[in-house]
Amino acid sequence: MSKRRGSSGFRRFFSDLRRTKVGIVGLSLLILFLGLAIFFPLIGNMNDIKNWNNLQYWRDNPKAAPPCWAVGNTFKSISVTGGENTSNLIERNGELDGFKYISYSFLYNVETQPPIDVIARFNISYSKPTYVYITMERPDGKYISLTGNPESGERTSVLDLFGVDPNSYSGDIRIQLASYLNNMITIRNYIVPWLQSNNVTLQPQDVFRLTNVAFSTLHQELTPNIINAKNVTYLSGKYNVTFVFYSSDKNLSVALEKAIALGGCYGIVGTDNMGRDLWMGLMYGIRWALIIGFSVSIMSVLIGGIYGVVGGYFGGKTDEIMLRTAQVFYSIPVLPILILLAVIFRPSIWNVISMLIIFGWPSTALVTRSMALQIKEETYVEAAKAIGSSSSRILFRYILPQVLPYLFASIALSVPGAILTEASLSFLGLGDPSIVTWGRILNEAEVAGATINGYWWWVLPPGLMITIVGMTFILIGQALDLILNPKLRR
Amino acid sequence: MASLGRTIAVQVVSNLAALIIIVALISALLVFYSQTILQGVVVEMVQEFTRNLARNPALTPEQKAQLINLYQQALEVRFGLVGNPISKVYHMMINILTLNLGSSRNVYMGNSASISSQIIFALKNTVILFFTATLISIVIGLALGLYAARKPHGIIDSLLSFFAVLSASLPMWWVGMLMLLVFAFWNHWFPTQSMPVYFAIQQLSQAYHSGSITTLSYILEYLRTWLYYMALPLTTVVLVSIGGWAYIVRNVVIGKMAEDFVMTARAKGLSERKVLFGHVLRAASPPIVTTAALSLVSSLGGAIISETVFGWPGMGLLFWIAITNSEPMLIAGNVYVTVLLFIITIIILNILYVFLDPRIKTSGSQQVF
Amino acid sequence: MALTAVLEVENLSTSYYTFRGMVKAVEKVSFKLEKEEILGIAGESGCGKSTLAWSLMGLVPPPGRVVEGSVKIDGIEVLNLSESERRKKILWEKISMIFQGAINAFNPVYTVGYQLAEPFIYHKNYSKKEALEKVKELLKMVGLNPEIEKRYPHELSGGMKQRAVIAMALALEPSVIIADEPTTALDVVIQSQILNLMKKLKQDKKLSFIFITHDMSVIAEMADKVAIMYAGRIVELGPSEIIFNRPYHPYTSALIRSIPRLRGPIEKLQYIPGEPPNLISPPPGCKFNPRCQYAEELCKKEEPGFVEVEKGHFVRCWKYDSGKQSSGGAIK
Repeated sequence: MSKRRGSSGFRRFFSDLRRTKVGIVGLSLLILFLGLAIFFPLIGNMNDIKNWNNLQYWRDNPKAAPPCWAVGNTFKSISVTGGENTSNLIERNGELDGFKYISYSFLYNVETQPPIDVIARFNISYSKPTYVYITMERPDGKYISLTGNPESGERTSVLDLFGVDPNSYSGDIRIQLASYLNNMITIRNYIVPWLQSNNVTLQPQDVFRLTNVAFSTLHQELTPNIINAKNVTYLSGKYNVTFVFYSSDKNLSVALEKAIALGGCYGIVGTDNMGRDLWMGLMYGIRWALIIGFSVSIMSVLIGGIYGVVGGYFGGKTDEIMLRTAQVFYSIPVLPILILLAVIFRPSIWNVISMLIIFGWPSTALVTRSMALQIKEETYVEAAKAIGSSSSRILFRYILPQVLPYLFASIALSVPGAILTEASLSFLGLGDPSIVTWGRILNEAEVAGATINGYWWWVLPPGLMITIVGMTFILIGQALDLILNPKLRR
Repeated sequence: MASLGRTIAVQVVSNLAALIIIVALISALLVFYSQTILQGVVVEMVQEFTRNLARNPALTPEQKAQLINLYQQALEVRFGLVGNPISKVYHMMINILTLNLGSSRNVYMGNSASISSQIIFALKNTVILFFTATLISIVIGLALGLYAARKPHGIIDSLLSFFAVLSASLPMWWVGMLMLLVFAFWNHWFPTQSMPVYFAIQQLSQAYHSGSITTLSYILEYLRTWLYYMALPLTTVVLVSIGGWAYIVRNVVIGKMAEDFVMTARAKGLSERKVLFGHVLRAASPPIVTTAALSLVSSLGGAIISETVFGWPGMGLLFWIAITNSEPMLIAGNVYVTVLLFIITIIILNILYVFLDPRIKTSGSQQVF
Repeated sequence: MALTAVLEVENLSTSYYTFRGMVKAVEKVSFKLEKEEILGIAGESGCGKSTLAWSLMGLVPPPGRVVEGSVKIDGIEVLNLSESERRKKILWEKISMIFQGAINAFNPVYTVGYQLAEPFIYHKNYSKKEALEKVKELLKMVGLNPEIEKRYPHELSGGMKQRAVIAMALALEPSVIIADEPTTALDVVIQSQILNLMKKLKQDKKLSFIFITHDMSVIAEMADKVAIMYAGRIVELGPSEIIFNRPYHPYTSALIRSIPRLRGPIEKLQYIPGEPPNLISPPPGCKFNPRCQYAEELCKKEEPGFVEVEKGHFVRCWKYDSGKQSSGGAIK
């Protein structure tokens, strides 16, 4: 009858599990996720995760950008590094009029859409006043000086653009061309004159409008009403942005670290509003989901299972206390109390896990208790008692082995709940801010108004991951149920 | 019959005891909460007060210091920060149990700052939304589950199993975000927030009372307005709940259909319809009714997160507002009402179950849940 | 003879179409049941007895189906009828069933009285009140206190429930009553009470029973005619005395031999070696041949026909199939 389940039970389950369709799907998904979680450092970039809260790290990424495969008409980001042998970078240096100059020309091709920004990072070292000159050459052959042109006697100091000591400095400098250009001063000094010299009529309000779109305007076809045109046509072709650093210091050294023409799309699932690569967050989240899911479900089911069996078997006062405690926990609405606790204690992820375990054990305990009550009445237990078996022997030899299958199914089925609850807490902003979980990503999405702004790539994937991981465990739990039920029926 | 009365009495008492213990726990938590969080609020308010006083040249520094002190003390009394912890917890328990909740610092919902009235306002909205949604899910789920049970492994049944698995793993609030994305943002068919429903209703009734629209169009517009604001949250809740519920029905019914009395009923020449509804469903009713009732009542807590996503002014959102605004009595009242309703339902169900399943009458003081 | 036969079954076959294959649960079964006769059907668990019972009523659960054959109750061909005709005219009116394990035959949420009253309400259009009056009479007939009708099934003891199930089966005074293991779950004392009750009812009401059981001693007590089933086939059919005293089929004699005797010399218990065959892929030829001590080459190749060796005595065994037999006569 029920004695067939026992020590051979374990092996049977895994072989039975493999036989059901549901079990196969569930098991393979589980293996996939376990692999992704464990081998994340090999697939993904651990640095991305370590720097998740470090906004500087993500400076060079487009913000709130959709994935490139989902967007048709957009500029694809390209970047070059100093010393790289590519047609997109031309390095020159030399001497002219007593000044040493070092120049980097960054070339990029525009098809239908221009980049949203050009970012350049240099490592520079000088000990005498140093200046910078930036130009852009358009496909239609027109040149724009974006800073003071030394040929006309105007020198722009590195102080103005980079905020560093113009006389002597050694270190990193960075420029974002769009923010530099979208600045009123730059517009008035360099862009307006250039536009006017190209027969563009400008009203005063147009100048104000330029503070939003100066950078992209430079990539448009030059027409007299370029500012007010309803349809924006971009000039396609090769653009050349050249950075020239010049100084009387013969030891001037400038090394290009990276130059990027930033497109409107990025990565596999795009970026969030801080420019963070969501794919990394998505993959790394698997780790935490599995850790949370497993620790909560295993611990609460084990504690609950043993508690229930012991209470059910021994009965009496122990049982009564356990029953009432479980009843109280059962009637408490979990999420509100969790939120309250989270607000009071500002917990780390381990506190959250502990709280979930504390709320989770009663449901298992109640079931195992009734199972123990039933098994207690069986004749073979009576027989075992008659021959003098100790309680612990009966518990371990007769009761626990029959309860074990249910516990396994229970573990599998509790995982999604744990993951969901933690995600809910993180979504409300009450999670552990030092770790990257899907709930947290969704929280940041909601705060940034992702739903209202249509950033579907930010909203859809994390929730999808939560759902799929949850489904994996439910499928496994269902398969376990399918195996257990026919036996229980008999 | 006497033992039946005794059984019920024992259950009622133990459930009420559970309620009191829960209230004690909540009170203890909130007292602790007050100490930590509210203390901070008091400090902020005192600082504000001090800044305002600083602008007043008519008072001497000593006078100002005295006023600040008095203000601080008044605040501490008002927020219940004085006195020893045990008596604080005790008093809070009494207040919560008797629903003597006082008022909140601001009006968060409805028209009055009285906490009880705000809770009633929120409860009403939660009932409108979640109750309706759960009711719809139950009805559709029942029909689907029954159909699937009659044709196991058929198309509907397999789809049902899939949706059940989906239901159990979908975060409801995430589905809500998706609904907003698709139907409010991309298609503009529905609003992005549901809070304005009361404003819209108000405007509507103003129009009605000023005579600019007829009664019929008022009624239609009234319904349409509610539906407009309610459609997305309602659909979300129904979509996420239906799968799991139908699956439970299906399993219970399949279980009952395999029992021997079904074959007996068929052998007696009863029509298939009579067998299904008269015997199978009736035998399946104890677990189904209790599960249905429990989910109806659980829905009364509102779903905190889903309501915040949609901005639906229900119990869930009220709780969240209470948390973010540091209103302990509002928190207490909200949680207490939810738990109270839950426990009352359990008590009623325990009694009801006896009538549904005659076997329970004689099986002792164990409660079914 | 044919005029008094209450039930005539000819070549009845029922199979289950499962994922693993077709299970031939009942294969070419033929027998006749006369008025006031008790036919006992005996065999091991899984030999198809219950499926046979369900097939007679048209209640074979899916994925099972009656594949061929004819079942005539009071001359009416039952298998041709439509569902609703069968429900209205045949089920419970002409043929009813006493179920195995009466514990579950009752729905726990309805009273015993209501469930006994259902046939009256749905077949005869009685009102609930009239039906309950009838129910009380039925309960008295089986020796139960008529007040029991107010009780719920779980409040009755095993013996009381079995009586109630019998009462339920008698409600519309059907021509044939099938009793499927009616006493298996009861202790010996109650068992004899129930059996005596059934004998009395048969006499008083002129009923015809089909008794299905694996307990040979019950068959010996109750049956006028005995059919021995093995692997879905009837291997021997005949009057009770002949089957018990002069069994022809090797399986029958092995069954009889395996009944322990109270008196006589103490001997080792006899048993039949081996296992019942897998009905999806049964052995070729005679289904009993792997376990038969008399099995020969022919037995492994061809299945023997159902042959009438004496008046009213049929055997399915090559030993008795004329022209192919190797030896005749009964086996002891």
